[in-house]
Amino acid sequence: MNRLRPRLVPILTTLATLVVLLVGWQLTVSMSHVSSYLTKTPLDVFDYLLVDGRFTPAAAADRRAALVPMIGVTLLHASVGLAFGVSLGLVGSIAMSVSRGLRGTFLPIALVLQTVPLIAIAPVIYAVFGAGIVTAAVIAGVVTFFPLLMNVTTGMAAASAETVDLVHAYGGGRVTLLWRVQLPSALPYLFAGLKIAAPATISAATLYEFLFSFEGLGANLLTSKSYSDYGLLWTLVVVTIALALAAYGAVALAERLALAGRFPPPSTVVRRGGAT
Amino acid sequence: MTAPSLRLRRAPGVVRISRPVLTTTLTGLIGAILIVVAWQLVAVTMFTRENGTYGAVPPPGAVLARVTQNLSDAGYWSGLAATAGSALTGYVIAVAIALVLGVAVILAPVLDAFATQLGIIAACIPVAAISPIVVLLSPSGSRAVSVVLAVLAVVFPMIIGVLLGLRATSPAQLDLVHAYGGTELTAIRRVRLISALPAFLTALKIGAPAAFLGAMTGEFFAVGVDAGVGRLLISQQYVGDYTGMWAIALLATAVSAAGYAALAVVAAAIAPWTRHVTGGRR
Repeated sequence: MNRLRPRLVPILTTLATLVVLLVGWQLTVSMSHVSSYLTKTPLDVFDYLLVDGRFTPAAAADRRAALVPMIGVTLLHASVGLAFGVSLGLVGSIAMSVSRGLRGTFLPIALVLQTVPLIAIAPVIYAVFGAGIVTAAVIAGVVTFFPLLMNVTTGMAAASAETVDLVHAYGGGRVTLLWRVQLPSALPYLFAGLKIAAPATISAATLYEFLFSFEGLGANLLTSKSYSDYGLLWTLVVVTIALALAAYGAVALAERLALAGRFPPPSTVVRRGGAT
Repeated sequence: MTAPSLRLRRAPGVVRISRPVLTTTLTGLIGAILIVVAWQLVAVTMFTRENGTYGAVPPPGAVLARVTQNLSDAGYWSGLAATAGSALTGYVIAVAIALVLGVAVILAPVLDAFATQLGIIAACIPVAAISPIVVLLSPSGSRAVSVVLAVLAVVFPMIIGVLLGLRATSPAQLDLVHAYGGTELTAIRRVRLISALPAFLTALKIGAPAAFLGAMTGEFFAVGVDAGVGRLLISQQYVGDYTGMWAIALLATAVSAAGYAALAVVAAAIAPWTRHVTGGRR
């Protein structure tokens, strides 16, 4: 029992939570008097994805095929943004950990900048970079950069004084210290930052598509509503939320695999950055 | 344990050493000046049109001038008030949800993981996914989407804060209450609430800016709503008034910071011993 617990319990609680939420949604809709034309239930979404008829186009396979490119575009926007934000965040935190001057100068600024609302700077980013993947990447990169920077910087500073002394006692230089001590000690913090950043990039990518583009999940959430295609709308909502949760789950899984047995159990140390 | 005098030289920035406040303020100030100078340079060299008007990045002076001008405009104040109203509603709802979950976790500790999961899901939900649904189900002109986005933005830090607070109670303290015949209610009143305060107050502080930003984002999705900071931003976006857009971004940041500061003052007043607890580790 004790050996199984840490592995099974999180998965079971996640599943239980999702089931509770889905059943709650189904019951709320079917017990209240909301219009079934506007409001779809999890069962309707299931029908939309897998059962022929009921929705247009008639064949469920056609409806699924239409969803694939939308998901692809959003995933592209999100992953380019994630890669961009993560690399910038890592470079930033390494620079800040090497130079105390840089850290003293820019960490307070980063703390202030991350409170600037994304929705307020998105139009400016759009004005500078125009429509296209660059704008999407910058917008998704913004929500990745700050949590990464904050977490990894904290993680590198979290190396214990004794370990640092040890490296110096054996004549290790700055690079050895960074590579052998600071970066490994930052790993749990890196994952904590990614847990915030990965779902946030999905959110930011869809927000970009919603505001400035005609493709991807975000844009189709808007158009399906204006065409009153509510089956598609609710399905897109489920797909988008599922993508964000899957992004979180993928990071949590990677964390479990990468840190298994090496560190104290993953904590919920998180620094939130970049309001979305 | 080694004596401090035996410690070897440490690499800079590795270990946090409390430095004089003056130095910290000074480096921070230098950073701020650097940013403003860089902003000015970029604005003038890259984003000034030939006729002298400003493009997507106007210089800081022009933005500041617009902010001062906005502050004397009643329209902006009513916009701020409308957004802040939605933010406050969402904030209160989120705090209530977190507290209810917190009480549920005290009564049935099994629910702890469930509460955390709920918080994570709320934090993951993309705004572009939930907003069309809320708009669809609420009447035209309703600010519901702003309120919902504020709730979603606040509820995760609140739940984590409440749960951290609950775990902060040491078992020995609880045993003491029970040994003297105290009930669970007494334990909550005398021990748990007090030890939960630091984490709870930190979450309250973090939640304030998040609520405002959530409410503002909601206005981009709302239908038939014409008051609010987000709506002002949209109208300036339509006419391409970049200086106005930057001014709004600055105002929104200031309001968020003010919300944080106000709660920090309240927290310092009702629980002075939590003053050193800063946001961040959650």
